[in-house]
Amino acid sequence: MRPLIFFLTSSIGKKYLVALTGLLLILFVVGHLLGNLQFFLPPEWINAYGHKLQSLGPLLWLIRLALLAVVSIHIVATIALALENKRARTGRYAVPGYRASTVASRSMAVSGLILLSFIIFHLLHFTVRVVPGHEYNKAVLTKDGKELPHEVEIDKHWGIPLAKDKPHVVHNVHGMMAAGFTYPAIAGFYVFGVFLLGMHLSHGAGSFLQTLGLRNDRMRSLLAVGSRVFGWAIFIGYASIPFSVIVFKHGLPK
Amino acid sequence: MNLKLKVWRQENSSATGRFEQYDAPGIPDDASFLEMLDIVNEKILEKGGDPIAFDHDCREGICGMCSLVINGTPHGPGRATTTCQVYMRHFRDGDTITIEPFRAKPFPILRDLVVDRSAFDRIQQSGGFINVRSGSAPEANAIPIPKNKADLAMDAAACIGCGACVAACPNASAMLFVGAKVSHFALLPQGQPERRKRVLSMVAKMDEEGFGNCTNHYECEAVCPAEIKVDVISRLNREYLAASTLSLIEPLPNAAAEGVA
Repeated sequence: MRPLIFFLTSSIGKKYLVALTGLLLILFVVGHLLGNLQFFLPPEWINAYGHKLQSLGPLLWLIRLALLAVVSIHIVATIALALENKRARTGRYAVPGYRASTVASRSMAVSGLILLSFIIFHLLHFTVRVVPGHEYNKAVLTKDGKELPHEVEIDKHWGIPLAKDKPHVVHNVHGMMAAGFTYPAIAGFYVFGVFLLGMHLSHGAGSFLQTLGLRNDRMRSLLAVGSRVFGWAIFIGYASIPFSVIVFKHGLPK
Repeated sequence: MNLKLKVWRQENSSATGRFEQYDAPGIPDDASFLEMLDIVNEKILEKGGDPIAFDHDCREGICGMCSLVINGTPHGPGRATTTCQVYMRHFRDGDTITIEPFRAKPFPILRDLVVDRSAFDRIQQSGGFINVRSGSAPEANAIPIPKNKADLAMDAAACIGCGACVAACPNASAMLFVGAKVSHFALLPQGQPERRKRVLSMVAKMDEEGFGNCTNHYECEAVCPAEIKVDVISRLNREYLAASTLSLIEPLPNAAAEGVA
């Protein structure tokens, strides 16, 4: 146990924790984006996908708790490291000089903390579904392109068919996303949030290999370019959803 | 050339420092930066003032004694150069040059531009050496070393321990220095007997001295006069992980007494 405690409380050990949890969060962000991009397919796809995830039962809670643990470790270890860094650096230079660092690398702590507030809002909005004035109705569950037998009621405002009988009732994920982004403030905050995510990853996606001890000089340009491309691709992917709602009215009643 | 200097003056480590302006007229183009300071100091002395204190020793770029942050950059303009190898032709007539000491908690300012870098010595003493039989020189080539390993070890051994990496790092991290020292020995056969203990001790000492943590800005590499690559930090990380993991299975003798894992 002693070596483990030594490792986890050391500078390098904490860096390993941040890098490993960061890698897991990158995998989550990619998976979540692929799921979300089903917004551009017929509404049944993403509704069925959402229903499937919500039907995982105990497994869903296991995944949620694991994600919470991963995020918590990522944040707690980073705050511990950042406080040590603040103590070590006594004052700034009169002439600021940066030669190799980037805006993204210098703002990791700030972008991360703003992202945290965004994630909390995002969960209240789309997972806990408590942001008032939004579309949290139910939709029809289909199987093999055919509607399952159920009693249908057409929603007055959105014109989306809603299932009334319990077994086939699913959350109308597609309608909820489209409706949520019709509010400029919410769409704006979302785009800002995923912009910070893209910036955070443009540094983080290349940085974790160095921290894990898996980088050498030959990977320099590949990692520098690769992590920027990756980070901004994530931004474009996520931002395309509110963009399509606001500009092309995608998913809104005609 | 005629220059204006903005120099950090501080009586001692507990005094409050401030910038003071100096005129530096008639500086030759081919004076080195330290020679320029010598000229300014002579003028200050003639007027009965207190000369600007700065560190220097060999003045040929190999000892690691000179420091200074010139216009925000440790060791000033130019890649892979120490302050003593910066020449005044890098500046233009009429320039105002801001000169500050290295700023980091583990490098307390002793006076003006002089900082105490003995934290580096203490890290070295904790493990940056090998124990060998003293006596007559051993037979050359008795221990074969692959060329690629020798090259990497030599690259790491080029570190002169000047501390510019700490000065440039927004987190005042010493990981480029410690990475270089750990890599230098870990790559060579002579470094193997103490390989595990070395990395554990040096990292423990580095943390204890209050250096910050690398967040991969790579500012250190950009100012390093010996062109040490951040690869050594990546190697330091994996050496530390491997040593710590081994300690779980196969504890080092006297680990607790020596304050390592």
